[in-house]
Amino acid sequence: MAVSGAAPKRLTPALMSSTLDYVRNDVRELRTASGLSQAALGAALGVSRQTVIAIETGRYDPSLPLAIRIARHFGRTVEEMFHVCQ
Amino acid sequence: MSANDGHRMSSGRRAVMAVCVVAAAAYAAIGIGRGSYGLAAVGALIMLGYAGLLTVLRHRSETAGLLGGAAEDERQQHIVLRASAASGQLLVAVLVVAMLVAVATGSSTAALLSGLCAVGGFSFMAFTWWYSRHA
Repeated sequence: MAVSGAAPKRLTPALMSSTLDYVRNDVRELRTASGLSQAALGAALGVSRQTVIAIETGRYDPSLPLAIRIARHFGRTVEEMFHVCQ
Repeated sequence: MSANDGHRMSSGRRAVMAVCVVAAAAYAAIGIGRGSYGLAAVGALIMLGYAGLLTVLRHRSETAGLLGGAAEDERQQHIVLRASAASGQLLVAVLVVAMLVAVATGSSTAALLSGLCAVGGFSFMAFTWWYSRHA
């Protein structure tokens, strides 16, 4: 059987950053569903209200520890809350 | 400490306020020492006014809060880091241009500016080396 001539591309950091366009999250939906204000969620997570706004609007991707803290706050896993969109 | 706890002064805010007060005192001492009472009064007032403005506006504006040293979560610390890096790069770029102009015109400040450029370049190399091993 003939093998395709094109070798598979090695997944380098540069290729990953070009294919993983952005991360979408469900923070706003879960926060409003639980009746929390942005300030209240920020206080619960130990971050500012502006940081909650930036995460909800996708302007800021939280670090892994903060993403885990957010997910645990809503009883979810990180993968359930943060979605990589190409 | 919570990011929204405004009752206790964070170490960053204390540091910024201390720098403002020390700078005001320095302006006053230098101005009085040189007999320039205008410089003493205006310099000290500017620094104290800046500190007061940051204190008054810190809950109304995130920028004022960050300028006042209240970077209390990872995003705000990231903003301060990026702002510091951008300011440093701009400062070095201005220094290099000024040094080239001084060298081209034979100005007496060429040696000083060259030294400052060298400090900028070597510190960048040193910190790059340090953080490539420790970050």
